This record gives sequence, structure tokens and C-alpha cells, in this order.
Amino acid sequence: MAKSHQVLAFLRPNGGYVQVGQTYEGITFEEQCEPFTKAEYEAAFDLVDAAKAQAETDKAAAKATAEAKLAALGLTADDLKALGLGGN
Amino acid sequence: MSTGRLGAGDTAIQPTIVDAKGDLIAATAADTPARLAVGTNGQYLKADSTASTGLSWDTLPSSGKVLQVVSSTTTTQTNIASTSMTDTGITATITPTAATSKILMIVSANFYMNRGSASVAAMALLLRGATTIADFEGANSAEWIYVNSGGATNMEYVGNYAINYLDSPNTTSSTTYKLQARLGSTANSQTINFQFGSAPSTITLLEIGA
Repeated sequence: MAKSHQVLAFLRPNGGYVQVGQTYEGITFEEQCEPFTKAEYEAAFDLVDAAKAQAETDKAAAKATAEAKLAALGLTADDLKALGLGGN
Repeated sequence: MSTGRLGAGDTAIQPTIVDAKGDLIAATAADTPARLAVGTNGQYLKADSTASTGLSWDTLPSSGKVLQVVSSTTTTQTNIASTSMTDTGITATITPTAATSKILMIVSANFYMNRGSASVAAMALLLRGATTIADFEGANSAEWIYVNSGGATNMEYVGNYAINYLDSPNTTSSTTYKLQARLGSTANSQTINFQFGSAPSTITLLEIGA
């Protein structure tokens, strides 16, 4: 499950708030930060979870696509590593 | 129980060897008892080979000793996404017993920073009441925390930073010390979470006698 700081960053990526504790009631909005409601805050946990799941799905799909392209060239991920490419 | 005097030839300690409340019986040599007069209130007895009885009373040193200790632990997560100085929740209050005392602060601040960028930065102030006594912000924008990974698109940084500071509050009034912090920038979703996930931060105040 998403954490409170992730939800806050999701809802207000430009900051402008302080949260003491991890509840909506502990949030103080600064002047430049448009407040959001408790309902929006609570609903955002699911939205962040969904975004994280989608990011994982996209990452896996991108990997599969890249591997398919490599295979079409007769290469593998190990071949790329041998060339000093492809990370650790 | 009855008491009485022994004869002159008897080998026993006479009650007249002591003269006052608190007097002790010591020895100046083998088989040679002697009176050691009581010390003054608060003194301690120490071995002292220069004294006739090998013992003497002395007074504890009045300076450099710890007069009291105040310690506070907080686990309340405090998420700061602001460039304004904000209380971190790390605070403690002490009432010095003497105006000449010094206060030694030992702070351990737990934090988690994250940002969708290669670097994270935060500034901090240590305050006595409303007075800044240690400035990790500064006119030159020096940072308290700064990490740059170079080229990363996301940065997470977890730490327990210590601050030790010796203050001279010059008061016997109740005095509150606290740590405040702020971000260098809120861009790229940067935040700093103190007591992240309810991890403890502590502040300990030691009053040191002058």
C-alpha cells in the first residue's frame, strides 16, 4: 500500500505542505499550496498503488519488447553485458 | 544494652575516643586507633596517605559535573515539503539549576528524503526558544543535508544525523531546545520525512556545572 508521503507527493508534487503524523488531520497547507479534501487524500492511496502497478507493468512490457528485439538480432542480455552495456 | 568503662589495663577502645556525632574511629598505625572527626555536610571520605589516619574528608568538585539530564524521544513522522523552517518534532525542555551552567545537546535526527531528481538538499536550525544557536542554513545557503548522485532521475536518502552543541543559556528559567528544518527546493516532489515510519529521533540535554 502506498505511504502517506507518496500520496502527498502525488497530489501536490510542488510541495507546500507539512504533515505531522500520517493522517489527513496532521496536514498543514501553505499559502501557495491548494488544499485537497480528506476524501481526495484517502482516494489517492489507491491511485498511487494503481500508478505503481502500472509502472511495473510498463517496465515489464518494455523489457519484453527489448528482449524480443534482441532476439530478432540473435542477441541476449548477456551479450550486451559482455559489451559493457545493459547494467550490472 | 549497658555500657561501662574498662579498666586501665584492658585493651579496648574507650568511648571517649569519639567526641561528636559522626566521628569515626580510624587507625594511625597497626593497633593504634584514633578519632577521625566528622566532615562537613556533603563531603565524602577518601583514602589519603598524607593524613595521620590515612583518611580525609573532601568536597566534590563543583565544576564540570553533570547536574541533570533530560532526554526526549519522538516517533511521530513529520513530513516537510516546504522551504519554510518547520518544527521537526525533535524538542526537549530543561530548567537549569544555575545560570552559569552549560547545556550540552546531543541530537540524533532520523530522516528519509526523496526526490524525482539527482539531488536532495535540506537546511536546519537548532534553536533555544526563538533564538538560533546553530545555523545549518546560513547566509551562504550552506546545506545541512546535500546528496547528489549525478544523473539519477530519482533519489532516496535515509539517515540518522547527529548534532552535538554546547550552549550557555545564562538562565534558570525553563528553556526549550528544538530542531527545525526546511527543503532547499520543493521541485521534483522533494520531501523530507523526520521519524520516517515512526523511527525514533532523540534529543538529550545535559546540564554541566560551571
